[in-house]
Amino acid sequence: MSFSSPYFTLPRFRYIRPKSVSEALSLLEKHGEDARVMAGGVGVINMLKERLMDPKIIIDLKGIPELHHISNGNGELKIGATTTLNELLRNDVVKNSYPALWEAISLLSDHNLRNRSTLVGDICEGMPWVDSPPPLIAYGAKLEIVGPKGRRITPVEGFIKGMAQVALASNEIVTAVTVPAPPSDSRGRYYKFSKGSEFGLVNLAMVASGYESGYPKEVRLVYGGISDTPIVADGVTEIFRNLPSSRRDSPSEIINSALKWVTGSVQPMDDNLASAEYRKNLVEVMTAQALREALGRR
Amino acid sequence: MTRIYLQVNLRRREVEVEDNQLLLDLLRDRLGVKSVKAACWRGECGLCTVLLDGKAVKSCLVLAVEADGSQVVTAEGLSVGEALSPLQKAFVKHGATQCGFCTPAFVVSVHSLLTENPSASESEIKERLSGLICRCGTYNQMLPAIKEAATFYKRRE
Repeated sequence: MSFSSPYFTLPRFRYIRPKSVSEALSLLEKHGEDARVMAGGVGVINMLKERLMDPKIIIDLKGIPELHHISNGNGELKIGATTTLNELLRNDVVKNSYPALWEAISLLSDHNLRNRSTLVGDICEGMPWVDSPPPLIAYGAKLEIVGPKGRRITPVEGFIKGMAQVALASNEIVTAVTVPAPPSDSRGRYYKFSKGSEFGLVNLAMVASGYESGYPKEVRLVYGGISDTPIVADGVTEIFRNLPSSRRDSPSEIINSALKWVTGSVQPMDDNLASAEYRKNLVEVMTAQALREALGRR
Repeated sequence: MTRIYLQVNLRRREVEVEDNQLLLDLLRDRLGVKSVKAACWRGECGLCTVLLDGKAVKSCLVLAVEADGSQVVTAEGLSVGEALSPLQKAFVKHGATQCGFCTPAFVVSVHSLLTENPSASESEIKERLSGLICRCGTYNQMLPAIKEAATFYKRRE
């Protein structure tokens, strides 16, 4: 994949702005691999410029009113496919109940880009450094996908299959993201090591809950930017679940055993942004900080 | 070709555009709005920023057809005839412009910020400008200019 200077023109395509999901689906069915779906366009237009895709038809979802919403109820937050990242940043429920997601979005690119880019678009880009999948996975978010056979629900975890590859058929559309309401004692943070609005070399989402005398029973750590796909530190989750309730280890002992698992199991990649060695060090430092905050220490 | 209607700096325009034409190219090359600058073409430098229905967006990442039915405002639209707006005057007064290439994008972005929130703090101003690049490095001159201009936006409320 190259990120050299793009062409100044876009390849030729036909632009269609359907008014309903069913109209968009029949367009996808008709044009198959020749069609690409676009929401904010930030990813798609750049990929067109780089000639990383060459569709004959661009289907713009922004004309579909039913895809533009943020709703909170029935124990979940639901975010439509054309909802922009800035709309999410202005939402009090996102800010107060899903702080790891809110922080990730606030560190994602810059304000003017966030006026166009969408949460669903960020997920569907499937690039290693995209910010929203780690917090969404940590909160247990799911995607609502429609296709010719109807509707299916799939977790965000496992949706990204590799560099720019997602588990979405060419005749399907992601219509929404749903995020279950975290327990009332939930804490969340997002850590990103980058230069300003650049891609993160290491991204880390931490969500902790189930506190008993200061110790969380449920801790989720999800890394981004260090591999083709997000990495879930399930070994760390196990360590916290198995803490004996009678005799607690000290916070530093817990953090040390978690770090031991992470350094043994999380293998960061080597690329032109940073070496594997450099990332490995960042992973350790950031994991320790995340767990100190999960344990209410700084 | 698709026929679109849009309002650019309060003037109604009707144009035929190719589906693959960028809003940036439509504004600069077809409609002669030269304050909108083309630099990186990939949404990183922010110098093609315009207000699209009141929101600051990078016009190199918007198709011209997407702007059908929209209102576009650029730096030209902030001044009245030859008279600069208070924000533009403050940029001049504080030397917040050197080569001037990035200035229209900064002015437009700051206008959107101060319209939403004339009491924006210094960190909010900096955060808002983080997606715009000034290669001359006049950021330190921009901050006092923006704070001074903010008083005019407060008065307008």
